[in-house]
Parts: sequence; C-alpha cells; structure tokens
Amino acid sequence: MSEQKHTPSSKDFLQNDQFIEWRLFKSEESERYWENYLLEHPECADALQLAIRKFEMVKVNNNDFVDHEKTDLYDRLIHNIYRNKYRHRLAYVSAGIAAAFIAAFILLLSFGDHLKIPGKKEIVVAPPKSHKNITFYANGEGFEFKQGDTRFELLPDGKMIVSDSMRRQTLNIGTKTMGKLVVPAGKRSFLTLSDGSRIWINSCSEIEFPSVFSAEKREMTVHGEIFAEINRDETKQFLVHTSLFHIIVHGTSFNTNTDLEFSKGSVVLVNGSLSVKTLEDQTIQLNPGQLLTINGTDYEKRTDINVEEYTCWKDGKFIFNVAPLSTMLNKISRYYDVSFRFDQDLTQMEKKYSGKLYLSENIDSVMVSLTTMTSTSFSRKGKTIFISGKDN
Amino acid sequence: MFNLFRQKNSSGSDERTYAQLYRQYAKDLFSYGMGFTASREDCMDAIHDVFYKLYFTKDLSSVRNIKAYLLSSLRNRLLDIARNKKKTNPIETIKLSFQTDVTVLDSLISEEERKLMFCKVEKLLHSLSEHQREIVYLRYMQELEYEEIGQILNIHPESVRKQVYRALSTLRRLVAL
Repeated sequence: MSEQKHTPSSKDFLQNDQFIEWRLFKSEESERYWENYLLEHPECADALQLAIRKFEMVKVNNNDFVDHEKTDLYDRLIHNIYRNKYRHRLAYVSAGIAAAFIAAFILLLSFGDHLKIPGKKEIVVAPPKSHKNITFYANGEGFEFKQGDTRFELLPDGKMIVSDSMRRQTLNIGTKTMGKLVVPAGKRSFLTLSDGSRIWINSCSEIEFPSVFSAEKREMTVHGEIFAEINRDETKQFLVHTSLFHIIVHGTSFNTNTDLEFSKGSVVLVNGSLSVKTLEDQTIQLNPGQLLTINGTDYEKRTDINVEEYTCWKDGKFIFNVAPLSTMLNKISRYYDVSFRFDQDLTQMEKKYSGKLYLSENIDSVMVSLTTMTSTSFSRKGKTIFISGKDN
Repeated sequence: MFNLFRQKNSSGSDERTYAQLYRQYAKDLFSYGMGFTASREDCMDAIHDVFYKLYFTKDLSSVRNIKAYLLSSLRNRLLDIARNKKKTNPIETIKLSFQTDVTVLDSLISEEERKLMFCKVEKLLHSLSEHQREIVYLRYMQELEYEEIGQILNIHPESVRKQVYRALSTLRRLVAL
C-alpha cells in the first residue's frame, strides 16, 4: 500500500466507489472490508462517520403522501371495510379501474411534429406556448395554479376541490357553470367529473365541461390528449366533442388525441364500447383494443396495436415502437416544457427507435435514457437542450 | 404491535391497532408502490387493497415480518392490476418494472458534494438491471434482509445474494475501465 500523504476526508470517502457500494448494498463482504479498514486506520474514524452521515442524505424513491392523501386513503379504507362488514360478504375490492361499470378511452389529438428550421443548419423542436400554469376558467374568471400536479374534483353540489402537494382548497363554482381547464406544456392534470368519471389530461390540452351534468346527458369538449374512465350510466349518454369528431360513450376506458393544426386525431379504446361520429356524419363503432385514426376525411381502424403504447403517458412513461426521433423529442418537449436544438441534418431526425422512457421528475435522467437509446449526447441550459450525434 | 393485531384479528379485529399498522407502514408502501407506477391514484388504490385484505385475513400466524409481508402484498397487487389492464393483449407476460429516482437532501452537505453524490449514485444505478435496482432499493431504503427481499421478489435469498454479488462485479468492471 502506498504512503498516504494525508488522512482521507469525508469528501474522499464520498467519492470512493467502494464506500458508495458499501452504503447502498451493505453486503457481508463490504461490511467486513470496512470493519477491517477502520481497525487499520483508526485516524479515519471521524471522517468515515461524517461520510456515512452525509451519504444518508441520498434517497432513492423518496416519495411520500402529501397533505390529506394518507388520511383520506384511510377514511376510504375504513368506509369500505364497514360497508363490507355490514353486507356479510368477503370481496376483494379495488377502488381503481377494476370496477365493473367503467368505460375507459383514450382521446388522442395527435400533435403534428413541429420542426422549425431557422437560418442555420439547426433544427428546433419546441412545445406550443400558451399558458405558463394550469389555469381553470369559470364564471368569467381565471384561476391559475402554479403547482405542476394540481388535481380537480367536481362535487355534485357545484363545489370543486383543487388539491396539490402543498394544499387543498374548495372553490364554489355553482351547479350550472361551464368550466374550462387549460393544461400547458410541462404540466399534466387530473379531473374528476360530477358523475365520478376520471380524466387524465396530458400537456398542451384543454377541456371544457359543466360543473354538474344535466339530467339528460353528460358531455365535454376536448382539445389535445386525455385518458378517460367514464362511469357507466344507462340513463345518460356521455359525449365527447372535439374539433375533428364526436365520441359517443356507452361505458369505456379510452385515450383520445386530436391536433387542430394537422387535422389528425385518434381514439384508442381500452375497454367497454364507444362509437365515433365524424364531421361527415359517419358513425364508426370501436371494440376494445382498437385504434381509430382520422386524418382529414380519411379514417383507419386497426386492431393489431399495443394499447399500452397509447396510454402509457398517464402512468409516467413513453413507449416507442419504431418511432422517429422527431416524434420522441416532440413528446418530451411538451411533457417537460423544454426546447430542443439539434445540429444534425433532417435525416437524423427521422431515424427510428424502440424503447421505454420513464418520465421521472428529473429531465436530466430522462435525457440520459433517451441519449443512450438513440446513441446521441446532450447538454442542457435551463429549458433548452442541445442534442448532438455521439460521433462528435 | 403486529402481534397484538394478529391476536385481535383472530378474535375480532381491533381498529386501533389496525390504524397504528397503517400509520406505521403506509408511507413505506407508498414509496415502494410509486417505483412501479407514476400514478398516485393507482398506487393508493393498491395500498387500499392491501390493507383492506389485511383486515379480513384471519390466519396471520405464518407472517414473521409484517413490513416484508405488506410490501410483498403490494407488489402482488400491482402485478394483478397490471395484468387486468393488459387484458386486451394476452400474449404478453406481465412483468413489473421498477424505476428508481435519486434525490439528495441538502442538509449537512455542500451543493458541490450533493451534485457529486447524485451523479455517482445515478450512474451506478443506471448500470444495474431493473431487478438489481429493486434489490438496492429494498436493502438501502427499506433496510430489509436478503431473506425478506427474497420473500417479496419471490426468489430464494441465495438468489438475492447472487444478484448483489453480480451487481458489485459489474461495478468493479466499470471502475477498472
């Protein structure tokens, strides 16, 4: 062993890979190694202890309930337990999507690939800019919510609960009010309608809806991308209006996405049933697992798709199946509200890749995955990301 | 506390001990569950189901470690939920993907050290397989023994030890380059 010029500091330990491995894995081998190390170098005890305490600041998946989530969940739990006890029946209930009377669909208003090519040989991919924060409009007023994870829940009495990781507030918007929710780039939201139907709203989307559904029908208007789980109600139809088509829901889980600029839209039905009425008054019936794409006046129905590719955004990931780089960058730019500058020629943008991207809170993690997948490299300055080919 | 619950459950459940169990372990379940889904709603639904089932489970005599038992139940429940979602594509086998997210709290350390540790740990985790990452999470964050980790992942504790060994060998190779 070479002469050490100085006793290691806590910082030295923190840079040592063996130290890091030890603290993360705590394998028997590493425990013995460090026990031994301490015996041979007792002068390092303090520095080592400090390094250990500092390393404890490293957290993996440091998620926790926020605000009332933990207690609300417990209330729901107890409520269901007592309901079951009263009925003398043992059932494994899931309050989630397993409930029998839900229609879930995905409305995809496909965002055209916006590629701007300024003067130089540089390609820019940037999200459409409108609002900065999630905004809710009702009764002529606009309410802006700075938190990226703001969720909305409509109650049957005309009140709306707005909650995020910091707080929870109740707005009284009235029972005969039309509301509009605007979700800009970099944000996503979640809305529970007055009948309990759940809507996940993706970045760059808007949705208009009544605070309380009328007695005859349930309807809403959507621009952009949502994933909806519509509660079945035999007495009341559920209509979804977009600028390209109308969806008549019988009870479904679906995803729908429409883009005005390119007149392209699609609907993916997860389960249940629905029909789509085009602007030419044609009615197309969809079965679960089917994708309907509408391009101007043409439409195409496909059954050979992987539904998850279309719905995964709501679960915090993107699944690409032989998708061009331009599409991938477009999706990321909208999801995180970042712009890309790419100094390669256009053909590089059309190179196709397949893979999964987990959409963590940290854009840099996502970029590491993306660049690994596509053999490129990146650097970021604030909200602008520069991408170059790896050979550079 | 769990033993108390166990006794009371066989005779007739006690809500207070049940509430204590929830208070103690809900956060761990939430943290673990969020590694499999980005949807807080889905995660909380699964936690609801785990505790709901626990309430009505009569025979808990074989449970040695309640935390491992709950985490295991959660994993299985999330697997079931994923399986139900994929009913339209029955050919695919269901596997749960565990995602890790590194954060470094900023007390005790400088911004420089924080960035350093973040990069090192991120890079290290990136070099591991998803399976190995899950093991690291369960060992480091949940502080579970190999046996308990094996119980949760449905593998032999020896297999866990081997995975750890393989992970460390990968890292040694990286360092040697």
